Parts: sequence; C-alpha cells; structure tokens
Amino acid sequence: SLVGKDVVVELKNDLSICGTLHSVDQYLNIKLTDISVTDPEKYPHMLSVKNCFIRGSVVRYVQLPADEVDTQLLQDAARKEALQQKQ
Amino acid sequence: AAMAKLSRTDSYSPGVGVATQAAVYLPEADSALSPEEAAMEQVCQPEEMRRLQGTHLNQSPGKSYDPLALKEVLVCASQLEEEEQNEEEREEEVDPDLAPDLEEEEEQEEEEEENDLGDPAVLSAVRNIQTLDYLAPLPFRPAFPSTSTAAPHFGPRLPSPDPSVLCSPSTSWPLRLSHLTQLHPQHQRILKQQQQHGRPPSPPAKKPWSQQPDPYANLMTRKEKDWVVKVQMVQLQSENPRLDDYYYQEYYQKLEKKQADEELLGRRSRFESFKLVTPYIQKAEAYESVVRIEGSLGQVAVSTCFSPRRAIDAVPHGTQEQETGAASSQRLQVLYRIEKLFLQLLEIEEGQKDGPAQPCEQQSSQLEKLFQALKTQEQNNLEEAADGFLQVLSVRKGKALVARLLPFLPRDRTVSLLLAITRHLPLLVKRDVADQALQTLFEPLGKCISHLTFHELLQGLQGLMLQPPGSSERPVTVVLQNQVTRMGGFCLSTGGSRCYLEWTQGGAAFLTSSLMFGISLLYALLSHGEQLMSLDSSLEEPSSDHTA
Repeated sequence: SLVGKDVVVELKNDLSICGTLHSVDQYLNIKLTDISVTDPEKYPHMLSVKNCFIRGSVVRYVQLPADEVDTQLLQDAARKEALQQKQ
Repeated sequence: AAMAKLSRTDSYSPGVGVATQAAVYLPEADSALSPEEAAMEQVCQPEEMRRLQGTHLNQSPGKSYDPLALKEVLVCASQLEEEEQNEEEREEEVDPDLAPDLEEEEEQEEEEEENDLGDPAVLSAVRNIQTLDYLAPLPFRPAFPSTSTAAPHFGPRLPSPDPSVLCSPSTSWPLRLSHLTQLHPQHQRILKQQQQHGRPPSPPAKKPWSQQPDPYANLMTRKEKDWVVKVQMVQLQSENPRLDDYYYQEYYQKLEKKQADEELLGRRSRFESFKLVTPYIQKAEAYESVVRIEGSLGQVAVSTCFSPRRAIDAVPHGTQEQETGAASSQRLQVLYRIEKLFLQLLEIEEGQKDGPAQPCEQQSSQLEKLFQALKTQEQNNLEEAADGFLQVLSVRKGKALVARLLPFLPRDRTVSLLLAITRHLPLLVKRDVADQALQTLFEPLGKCISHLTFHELLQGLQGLMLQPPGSSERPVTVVLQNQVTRMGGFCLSTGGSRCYLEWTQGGAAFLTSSLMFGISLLYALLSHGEQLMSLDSSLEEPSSDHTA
C-alpha cells in the first residue's frame, strides 16, 4: 500500500536514501525511484543515480510516512495473521 | 497425440526435471510425430523446418536416430502447436497493454511449459515464421533453484516488479502501471493522479539513459518478459485476498469510502464500486512450508512469499496462566487479556461487515461474552470487577478496544461502562498521563451520553461527586483542578456553554488531553442534563431527584 509514496531507507552501511517506493518483494528487496541521499551528504553522493534496487538484507530501517499508515489496521492485520498461523 | 496430451496435462512444476520429459518423448516420438507433421505442414514451411522434418523422415523408425535432432523436432512441433492454439485463442489480444486479463495469459503459460530445449536453430526457425502474427515466446527454461518447490505458493499480493523496468533503455523508469501489476483500483487512481500532477521534479528534458544504443536491449521479447512476470504472479495468487492481504485491501477500502464520502459532499461520486480483477487460479495445491526428506536429519526450509524463511519450528510451550505475582507479569496478564478480547472484537466486526443486518442472535451472544470477559464479572465483588475493567482501560490498547467495542454493545451495557468510567475518572486520568489516549474514548461515550435517561445521568454525576475507594480525591475535583479547566467550568455555569464548546474543540494546546477528556465528559453530561430538563417540562420525577 505504500507503493508510490516517499520513504527513507536506512542501510546497514549508514547510508540513508530517500525515494519513491516503486516496488517491494517477498525478501523486502526495495526499488526506489527519484532517489536522493538524505542527511548531510557526507556519504557517497549518488548524484547521477535516479533509480535503485536495494537488496533486502542490507536494509536497517525503512522510514514510512506516518499519515499513510493506519496503525490500528496494522495491528488488526497482525492479529489475524497470528490467528491464521495458529490454525 | 501423445505429445499434445503431455503438454496440456503436465502440471505447472518449475522444478521438475527436464530430463524426464525428454526421456518420455523419445520412445513415443515415432508415432507421435506423424500427426504433428501434418500440423507442421499446415502452419508453414520455412527452410529449416523442412530440413528437420527431413532428417526424421530419412531415418528409418526403430533405428537409433539422432536424439538431438529429434528433440529439436519435438520442440518445434510442440511450439507450433501452441502457437496455433495461441493464435486462435487470443486473436483479440493485439496489444497486451490494453487488456488486463490474466486469464488468457494463464492458458498460455500452461501451454508453453514444455519449451525447455531451446535450441538456437529451432528458435531462429520459429522466428522466421511469417504467417503468425503473434509469436509465442520461447523461454529458455532457466535453471530453477534447486529447492524442490513443486507447487504454486500463496501469499500476499505484492505488485510484481514491472517488466518494463527490465527492458530496453528507451523507456524511462517512471512508475509504469503495467497491465500485470495488480493494484487496488483506488491505489491505481492515486498513482495516476500523482503522475499527472506532481512529477515535474524529474526533468522531462533529460533522458535517464544515454543516447547510444544499448547492446543488451531486447534480448527478451515482450512475451518472454510477460511469461517471467506471470511466473511470479502465480506465486502471489490467493483464493482469499481479503484474508491473505488484509491490510492492503482494508486500507484501500477505507480510503475509497472516505473519498466517496467527500465526493458526495461535493459532486456526485464517480467512482464505481471496485471490481478487483484476480488472476485466474489454476491449481490450488496446498503446500507444506516445511519439507521433511526421509532419512535426513532436520527439515528443508521452503521459502514462499508469505514466509521467506522459516528456519525452525518455534512453538511456545508451557502454560500461560501462571501466577508469579510480579508486577510485570500482572501487566502481561492484562495485555494478554486485551489481546484475547481483541480477537473476539475482530470477529464481531467482521460479522458486521458481511451482514449489516444488525442484531442477530449469534452476534448478541458474542457481544455478551465479550462484555463479561471485559468486566470479569465472575467475581462477585463489584469492586474487583471494576478493577479488572480499569486495568484494561489503563493500557492504550485497552482504550482502543473499548472505544471500538462501545458502538456494538446494547444500551444498558454501554451505560454501565460509562458509569464505571466516570466513577473512576481520577484514576484513569492519572494513569493516562503517559498515553494521552483517553480522547479516543470520548466520541463513543459522547454518543452514549446523548441517549442517557435522566436517572442514569444523575447516577453519573453523582459518581463524579463521590470519592471512589482507593483514591483521595473526587473525580470532579480532579477535573477542575487545573486552572484552565476551572475557567471552563466557570464558563459552563454562567451559561457560556457554546463558547466553551468551541474553545475545547479548538484544542487548547496546554491542556493535556486526558484532562480535556474529563472536562469534556463533564460538559457532555451537564449539557445533556440541561436538554433533558428543558424537554421534560412536565416533571414527573420525585423531588428527591432534583435535590440530588
């Protein structure tokens, strides 16, 4: 549901990339478009790069826009999933 | 023909050995080819094809013939047969971008799966066929990972990587809505709007790739790419998307409803109710996410969309209802209770959504059970029962639970809950300092208040005035403690209730919301009382009520 929204992906090498979420898969590999490096750009400037593919295993955090996430609904979804797994 | 049968009835099995299929072909090829020859004759006669046919014809049956040539012929024939079928079955699908219809594509996949011996000579032969408008792709069956996944997987529906992303550089990489990306219609609309309005930041003049031709472009045809994407999509199919992908479906349903409501205020809603196009489900094979191989030690982890890695069987054992007496375990107990209540609440809400025919017998019994569990009324002592309830309310989750539950409960139950809350207001306010979540309760409680009878209202007000056991102050003093709320109270008494209402709603930021809750509750009670007084001009209540 966050496809098309802006997120910030923080990697394990301390690089933070802001971009529009293009797609994500089962391994949480992430594709971003229109990326820019947030934070002071003391890390490799990826000025020429506009789109990127990030392997899921190198992600530390993904910062989501707060108003695009319904936490109550998320809790419900987690409860339902836990119930399903038990059955 | 036998081969035709083979190509149709084999289940889609990415990992099944290629060798077995080839082995099966060989002995039967003799008889199987003769009808295929006819098929080949019908379709076309390119040079290479004739050559291949010729090699077979020249060889006497029964002799050892060149297996490679035979395979080529077999592959060729099967492809042609499929192309025939493809052509006649999908005449109308000229441009795949127009038709988001995966059903046809599923059929195509069914037929293509036998093309695993892509010999370059054969491929070029097929490509040269002029008569077919539409070439079936000839996928080189890649070496599938060694996991013995023999069945499609189920899981949440994620939008698959757009095939256009993988293709030629002439297409830039904005968020293309390929026909294969199964997004909720609402989601699609939002993305389209975004694209129209707000993507000028990406400069239109600058091309994302350089002008030189890319040597790696167009290695795969569109159909090949579609086939690969379809392979992924099959894994994402699910029979019950509302359950498997609960969050996504519900979120966009809510969004759509909200937008529809807003539209109704303005112009008429032009969004039709969504008809979600689900991919055609071929086989619903259940799978075991953990595979045990005989004679081996341990398990093989099969990775799926739903559970990419399942390394161990982590099942919690041990009893859950152990009384340890520690404070943390007490809190855990409360949380555990809340979760159980939540599951019941979710059931009720689900039942509500399906059949809006409100009070059915089953639902009311469920509600009653839930209410009893909430109030822990198995204890005869009323105070203990209230205590259990208060414990639930002290947790933010508990407040959310009660707030969501209140609309469902029958009136008398909500009244009793309201009375319990007003009686123990100071405690609640004190415990809410960290969460500041009491306001979630205000809306449903406000609705409840507006339906109170006079007698119940008085009970509530009395509750505010009395000091509950275990607390040193009366609820009303807690509420009026703060300088500002006292001013609010003053406004009330002078009849400036209107302006007070606006003031509280405007959100005086320096007030904590829990205190706001208290004063708002008091205000709501009093205003309702005023209403009742004004309506009941012919007062039949005994005078004791008035004095109270």
